[in-house]
Amino acid sequence: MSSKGDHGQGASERDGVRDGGGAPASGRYRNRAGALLLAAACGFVLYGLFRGEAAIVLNKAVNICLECIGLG
Amino acid sequence: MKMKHALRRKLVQIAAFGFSNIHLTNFRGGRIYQGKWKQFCNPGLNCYSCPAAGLSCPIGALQAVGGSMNFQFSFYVAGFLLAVGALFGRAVCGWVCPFGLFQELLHKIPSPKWKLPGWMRYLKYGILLVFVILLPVAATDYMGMGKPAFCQFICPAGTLEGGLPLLGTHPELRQSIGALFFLKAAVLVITLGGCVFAYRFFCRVMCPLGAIYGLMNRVSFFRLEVDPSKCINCGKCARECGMEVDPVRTPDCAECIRCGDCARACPAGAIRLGFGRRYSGKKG
Repeated sequence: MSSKGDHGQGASERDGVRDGGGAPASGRYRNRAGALLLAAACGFVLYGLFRGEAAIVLNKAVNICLECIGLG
Repeated sequence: MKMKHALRRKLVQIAAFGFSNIHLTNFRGGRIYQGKWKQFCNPGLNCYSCPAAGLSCPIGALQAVGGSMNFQFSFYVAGFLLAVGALFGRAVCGWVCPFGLFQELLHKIPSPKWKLPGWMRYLKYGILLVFVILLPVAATDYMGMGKPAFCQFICPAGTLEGGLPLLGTHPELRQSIGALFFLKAAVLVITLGGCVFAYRFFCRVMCPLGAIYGLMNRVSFFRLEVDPSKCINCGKCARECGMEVDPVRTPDCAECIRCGDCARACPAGAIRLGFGRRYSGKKG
């Protein structure tokens, strides 16, 4: 059991940074994962727009949502 | 410098609050904005039935599409949340969420301050799974339409921002008040009370949006970094953190809202918050 100030060194500290709760996540891995997620997100949004989901969102949002206000 | 950071974050929060609720005149008369901007989601939690709201609530939108007749999953909203999460992680909670700012203001009310048991942080993942993802899809009527269960049974933001102003201005709606409203009112009272005693009680225990963004803290481009060559292991950062995170041990903890209070407290300047390259360890 270490004290509050006694922070153990993780594998990722080899490149100079503590990261992710001690998990060995390098900056390159992280940037790639983020970029991949961002690319997937853009694909999701475009596909959702193509399916017409924005219209469902708009239709729900421009009317009073009875569930939201506790009446539905 | 310290005041500068705190003031900067507060100004960003106030600006985001104002942008999210730009149609203030709608409170008079209890109308809601019905323009095309509502097809876009707000990054933070802000009920779309709030008279002042100019954008959609992403959690409400996720349930609305999931519970619709045609679709069971919203790629549009999920993609939006993934994109925001990949860019900013849970910084959204700390910097632009309107309900987050409201909770911080509530916590300034003088009172005993509590720490929350660690297990409570996991409740929000259960709420996300059951009320936001499963129930709107699984509990459907004869037409195959589901209801937004999180909005219906839990969301205190909806009760506060949408329910109270609309019920206050629409007598015909008040006639429909029943057990469901009192359930939601009770959740609201518990949440508001919790926020007075525990820092960002709703964020940490109940918010499904925070749960989604928190999971992406590990890969988000906006990040918190600790330079071990500068860190003097004093523990001030962990003591300063309202979310009860130790940024040195777990800088990418799902609870971290990237507020930067730890970086502000660090006497050695070892903590950095922002985009861009990681510390090299050589520059000191």
